[in-house]
Amino acid sequence: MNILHLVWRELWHRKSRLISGLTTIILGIAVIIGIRTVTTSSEKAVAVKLDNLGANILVLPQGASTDDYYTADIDAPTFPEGYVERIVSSSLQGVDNLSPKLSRRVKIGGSSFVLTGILPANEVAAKPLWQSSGIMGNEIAASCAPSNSQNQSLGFKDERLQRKTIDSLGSGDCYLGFIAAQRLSANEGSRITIRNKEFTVSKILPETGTVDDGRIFAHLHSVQNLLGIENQLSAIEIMGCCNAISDGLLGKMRNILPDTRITTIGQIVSTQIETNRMMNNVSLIFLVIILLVGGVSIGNYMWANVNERKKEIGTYRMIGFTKSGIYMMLLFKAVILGFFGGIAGYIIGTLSGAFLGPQFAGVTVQPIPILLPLSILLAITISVLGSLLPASVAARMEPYSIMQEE
Amino acid sequence: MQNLTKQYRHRNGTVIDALSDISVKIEAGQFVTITGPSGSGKSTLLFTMGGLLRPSSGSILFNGQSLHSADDKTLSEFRKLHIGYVMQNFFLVPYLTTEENVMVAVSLSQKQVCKQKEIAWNLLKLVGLTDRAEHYPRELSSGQQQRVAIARALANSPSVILADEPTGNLDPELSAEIFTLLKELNTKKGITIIMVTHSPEAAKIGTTRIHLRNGHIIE
Repeated sequence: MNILHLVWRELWHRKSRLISGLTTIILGIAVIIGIRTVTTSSEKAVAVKLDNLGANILVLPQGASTDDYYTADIDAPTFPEGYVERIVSSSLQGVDNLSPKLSRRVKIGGSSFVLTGILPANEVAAKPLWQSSGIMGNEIAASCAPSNSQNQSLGFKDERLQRKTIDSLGSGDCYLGFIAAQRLSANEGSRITIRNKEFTVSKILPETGTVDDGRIFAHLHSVQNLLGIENQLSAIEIMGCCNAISDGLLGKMRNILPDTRITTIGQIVSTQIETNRMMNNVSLIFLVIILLVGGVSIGNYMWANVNERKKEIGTYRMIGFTKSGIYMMLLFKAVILGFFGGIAGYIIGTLSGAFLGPQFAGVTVQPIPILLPLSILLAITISVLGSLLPASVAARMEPYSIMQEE
Repeated sequence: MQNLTKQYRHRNGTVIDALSDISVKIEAGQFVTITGPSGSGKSTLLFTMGGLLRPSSGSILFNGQSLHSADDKTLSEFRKLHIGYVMQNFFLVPYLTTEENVMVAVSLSQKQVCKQKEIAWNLLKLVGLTDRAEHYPRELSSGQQQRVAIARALANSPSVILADEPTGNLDPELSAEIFTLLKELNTKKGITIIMVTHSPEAAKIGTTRIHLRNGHIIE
């Protein structure tokens, strides 16, 4: 026989009131968990979509046109290749998969093509500093996005949407975009001549539906040499983490590269940022409402419980319980209510999120186990805060007055 | 008790003297009965003696220990170790069984559950209720409930039992049983009994009688 036993027996003795007392906490926690799980899954899903779209930040020279994000690097003025090193050595958070480029229009057989010089992945491996920041080294994933395996679980199975890297590229090799290959009637192993230099077609890239389909990709240094623009770039593509962008990543990069124009896929990123902000604000508003409503509701329940239990409280005091003993007994009850309310709220919230997420947000919702201890902690906090005053009043009740009332 | 007074302030501001200048010395092993009309201060005196009510002035000494200015922890300890209460309305906890109602009082001084059970069982045996150990208070008769209350009052081997109209809700036959039980506790175990009663007949059981009127001892 101890306080836990007494609290437990009392809870079961008044089951209907126990259920009504728990309902508020459970519903409150369930709402927060439901919103949180859907929001988190939605953020991950959008981050994956953005990753699959490719780079979302473009570093261009001052004076470059940014009318069209996807063609801004073509025929743009140039800046030194060393700018890549500047970004890498700055240790900026949320920067991934840097891809330096030099793009120019070239004529082949009277037709105009875009020749883009890129660095293949095997050259990144030779530069430890670059490798650590993932320049062309990672197949996918900005640092905020889930891994490839998570991609699969989130339902992005379309291989065309998987971001491709070019592992190796010899100085005399080139990759052709899907449309460029058609226009040149080229196959893998064909030879094409650009400004008197012969390139072997190593691979025809699958159709992506982007401007890259019309491009010819060759080694950056070969293109620089061919065009006579040594150690110069027309753009650096970067995969930036959405959250980092919302936290001012572009501004930080502008400080590092003051004589460049840094742009992003504004509409997509800003929409995502706004959505994330809105959902986070909604979560926060709900959290405050739940804290207030839950606390008041538990407080009411405990008031009613204390009034109903006056005789018991008087009995316990009569046989030798101290005021602090009564206080602890009621707070212990609040902790138990919070504990089970938190667990039930987490389960219901997660199930609701899993059921409603695909319908309302169009995302597959995964449980977030870390939210379980947080739910329990929050529920206990609400329950204890709401019970402080009733418990204090109960502890200060004069046993004699209670006995006389009876 | 020396020059004990207890005053209440009514909502309209008037001060009511529940006890006025009470001085009494009770020796260990006595059976004291307190009588008087309703509102004479009988229960107030009993609860003040038992550390459940603080006097407005005066002093209370128990075996030389001062109670009138003691803090809550000291008074709770005093009630736990030295006082057993038997009330007219029994004051049993409804969601605990007969055995648990006794165990809850034992648990305040004995933490081992098996020991708690052993003590509770022996007390229920003393009051003849071992066959009702697993019953809840609502499943017991009034007389049985009062016997459970007496068993609980004995949980920590108190030196004093304070009984407030212990037979007020019982028929004459059951009342006689309870009086007999209290008398046995007094004579066989040497427990001091202080009992408030309306009944002049019941008051005769006591070896010492106190009669109150308007907060004063008149006899």
